[in-house]
Amino acid sequence: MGSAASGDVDAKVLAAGRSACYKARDAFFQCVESSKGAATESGTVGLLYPSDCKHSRAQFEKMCRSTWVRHFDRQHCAKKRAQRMLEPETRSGPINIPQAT
Amino acid sequence: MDVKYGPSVGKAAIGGPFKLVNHEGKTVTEKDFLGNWTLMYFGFTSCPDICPDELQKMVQAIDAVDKKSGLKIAPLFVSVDPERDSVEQMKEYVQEFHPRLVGLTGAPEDIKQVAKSFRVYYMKTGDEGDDYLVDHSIIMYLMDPKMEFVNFFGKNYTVDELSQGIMDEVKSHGKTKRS
Repeated sequence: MGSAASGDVDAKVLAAGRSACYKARDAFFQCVESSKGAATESGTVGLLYPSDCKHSRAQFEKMCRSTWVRHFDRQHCAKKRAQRMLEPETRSGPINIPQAT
Repeated sequence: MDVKYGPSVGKAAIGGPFKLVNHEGKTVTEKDFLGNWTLMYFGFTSCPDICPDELQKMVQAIDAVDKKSGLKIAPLFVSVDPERDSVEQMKEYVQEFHPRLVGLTGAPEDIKQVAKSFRVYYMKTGDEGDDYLVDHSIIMYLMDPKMEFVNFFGKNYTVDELSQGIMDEVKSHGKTKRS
């Protein structure tokens, strides 16, 4: 058999571990969404978040594997990008320049 | 001019023999799954969200099929990360989803061979030092009791659509005369 059996099962990927990770993830992104502070801290893959979410960020990074943190950060960024494109206020396109009357 | 359409001929060349190790550590081949309808999904245990969701969907669908028609489908989970998905890892993982879910891992070259025969794309991604994720196609393969490919179901299928799709295939399979 060629597969490397580490002998240790990674509990973070089992149901309880996943659940704990998702909970920490959701708490962090909830903080980012509801925070009024400026996004000054950097996560991974270009994610910026406000400093008042530092604690939930630390929890998120603790409960989830780093590859998962990056994956969820990327997912969040992609979702925000899509939202920006769809929202009338933020989507790019023709600008109405007020005309002098 | 009348064009007559005959029955469609040929089957997609998907599937074939394999030699893998189940989550009890036993070496198994495709022959061990003959006699039952089988639903196969390729993924890995270190998957953040997609694999747990797909497996959850898979086991819910087979329970729905069982409840509606009495047919027991055999669910299989094949690892595309054999270097990390050991027998013990697979066992802990699959047992949480369903008592009948079988986990298959094995030597990397055997996984490569089965993935190739099912046209499964998989590739390691990321560079977090030692850690990595595996990018892979998200498809469930329905195999008939002869372990021959019947149809596949993508990520967009809901539990209901999947269970209905399976039952439709089983029903039409019974009606087609095969020589």
